[in-house]
Amino acid sequence: MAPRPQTDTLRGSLDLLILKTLSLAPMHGWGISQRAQQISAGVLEVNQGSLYPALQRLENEGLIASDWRTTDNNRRARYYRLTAAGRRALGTQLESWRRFAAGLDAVLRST
Amino acid sequence: MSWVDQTRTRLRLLLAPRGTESRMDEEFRFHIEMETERLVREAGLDPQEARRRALVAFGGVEKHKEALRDGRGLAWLTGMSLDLRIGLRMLVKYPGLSLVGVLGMAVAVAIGAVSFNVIYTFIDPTLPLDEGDRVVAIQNLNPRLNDEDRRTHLHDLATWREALQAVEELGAYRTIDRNLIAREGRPESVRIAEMTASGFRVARVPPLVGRYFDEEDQRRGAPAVVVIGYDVWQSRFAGEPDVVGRTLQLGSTLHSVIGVMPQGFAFPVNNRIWTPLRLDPLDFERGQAPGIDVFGRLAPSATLDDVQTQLTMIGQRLAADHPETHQHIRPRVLPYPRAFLDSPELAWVFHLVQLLVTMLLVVVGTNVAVLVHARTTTRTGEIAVRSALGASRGRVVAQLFAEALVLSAAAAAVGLVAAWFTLRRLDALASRIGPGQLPFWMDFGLSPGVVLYVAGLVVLGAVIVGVVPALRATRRHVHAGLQQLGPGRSGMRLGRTWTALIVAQVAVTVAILPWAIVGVDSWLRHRMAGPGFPAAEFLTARLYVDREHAASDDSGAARVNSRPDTRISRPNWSGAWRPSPGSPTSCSRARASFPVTNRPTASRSTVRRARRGPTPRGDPDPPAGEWASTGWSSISSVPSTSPSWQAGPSRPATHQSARPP
Repeated sequence: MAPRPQTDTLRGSLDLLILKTLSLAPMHGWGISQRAQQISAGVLEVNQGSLYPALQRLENEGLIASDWRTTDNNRRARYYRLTAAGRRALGTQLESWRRFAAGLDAVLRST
Repeated sequence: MSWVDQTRTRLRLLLAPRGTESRMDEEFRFHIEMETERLVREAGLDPQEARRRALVAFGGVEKHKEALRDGRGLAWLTGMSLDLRIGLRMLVKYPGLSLVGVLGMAVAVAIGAVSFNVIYTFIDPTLPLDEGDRVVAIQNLNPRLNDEDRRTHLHDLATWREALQAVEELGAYRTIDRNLIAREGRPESVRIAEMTASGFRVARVPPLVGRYFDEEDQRRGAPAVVVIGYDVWQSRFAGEPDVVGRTLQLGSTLHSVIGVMPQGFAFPVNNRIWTPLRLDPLDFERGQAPGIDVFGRLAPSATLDDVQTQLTMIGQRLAADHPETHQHIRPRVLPYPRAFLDSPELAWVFHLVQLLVTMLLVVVGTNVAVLVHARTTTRTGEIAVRSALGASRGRVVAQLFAEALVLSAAAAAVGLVAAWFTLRRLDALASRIGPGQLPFWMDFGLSPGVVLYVAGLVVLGAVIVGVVPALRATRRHVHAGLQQLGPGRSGMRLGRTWTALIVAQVAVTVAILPWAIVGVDSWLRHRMAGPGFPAAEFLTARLYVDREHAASDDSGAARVNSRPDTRISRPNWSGAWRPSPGSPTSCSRARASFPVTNRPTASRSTVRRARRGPTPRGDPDPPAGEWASTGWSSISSVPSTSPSWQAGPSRPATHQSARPP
């Protein structure tokens, strides 16, 4: 089987990251990038600008929704939240990721 | 996001792009500010340095904006709007080509639009009634006559009413000419509809005032009643609200007005006055009854096929029961407006004609495409530069298509205006033909269908004028195109295809030119030749005799024709009444011919006075003055109030005429 292109792999990871982050609480774009960095203890550093095309794509697919709100320091920001379809997609993608990670781990341990 | 939400979002992006852009800017600005504050707070950087690092961390702002714009799926629209602006500039930059192209294509568009409107008004009209597409006509077709046999309808109507389950209301009508007598006694010939009560129920239009007929009004011996249209109510009764109960004289019978129909109502054909249909099948032999037309409304959920199946079975039964009249009869059902076509099954011919008319645009578009191609070849260098900068062939072709679309749209706008004027003239001509001649649903105005058709022509024209030359122009290699940019290079080369097209068109033009000249010359000679005698100095007369004075189906014309060579003497002229050869005895109009026996003595001014008078609706000839009617009553037993007497300039081919004073 031909290897998947790099862009598809990274894109899939970013989508999963966004969906997982939003499953905890609705958040604006900057907040998503900070939370992902915090939770991964700095291991995962999201390319901040690339976040927005991914957010737009997920919104077009109906997995997340957005609306404008006022932040704690009285600024206007666009908040994203997970939809019901997004929750279902998150579950599916998590399952796929775990199977992939387990398979990769098994291959790496055997050599 | 559901497709509804996606469509709504795309529409919002399309119609309010500035708002979308400003929201995107605001979101990015917020992100960079938050990152800047974090760097100031956590890393202790000065604000300027913190902002710089925030921008670096964010990545290229414009790059991400482009990615967002591409993600909306509307990037092509931005490109298209630029191409359309270039197209407008090209129109202005090449005024000669623009003028020729726009005018040429406008003519083709105008002809196509008028033809489309006229053809589809005839073959596929919409009945402007509630569920008008479910109103049908039922006919007995006689293949031996190659026409419908309307004389069998009256007796079959009762059978159809009983047995036809798929039609819920069956009605019938016939249109006849009657003389409407005004208060001052001057008669006017009008075409009224004798219709069954179910006719109004089929139309589903309630009366404006009063009521329409019921079954009791159709009974023989019932009082004479009439329903009038809005125009008649306004013109004859000044729109007075107490019109119900007032009388209207048709012939010598006073009819009581029982109702007024709303403005615009003219069912079944183009009628403004309705009286009950009182024909009894028992009064006539089967197959010899007066001709009537039958219509109905499909029962709920019934189809035309259902009706046809039932009609076929009924027709077979009637053929078995009455072979003397129905052996060859084939009943059929068709949409009501189609019944007014002579041969509804030949509607495909009209489609073919429309297709050929549309091809006219192809011919004109090809000519314009040759000119556009010549212009495109001078832009080969420009095209090569665009290609070298990364534009795909499709992108360049799209640009040239957009430029052609501007030209084509301008031509369509001019063509639509020309078509609108032409259709207005046609409409005026149609209404002058006479009431009851053209059905009320035939409207020659610009319809949405015509506009859609023209939109299709615009795209077709743009494809011929823009895409075809563009494909040829982008066929060359970029390097060859870039060489065109050098000094002293000419891009004006036409290939074999264009050369062959130009030669063919010149050959066809040369070949048909002599025939066109002969045709025009023949027409001009015919127009200028004239009748060969001073036709303007002659008068002819036409007598309209009311149907009620006819014995059975004869009219007063029968009595007229039975008195040949009756002499008429008037102070200013004299002549003899003689029936025209072949005058039918059963029509309600008789033609009078006046062979000259004495030289008239009065002046021509008397004629002019006599010719001035009210013009009956639809009659192109000016009517006579008051000198005619009383003289006529002395000749025959027909009451003087009954016939309407009209005279006017002679028609040289059809009448003998008396020479006026």
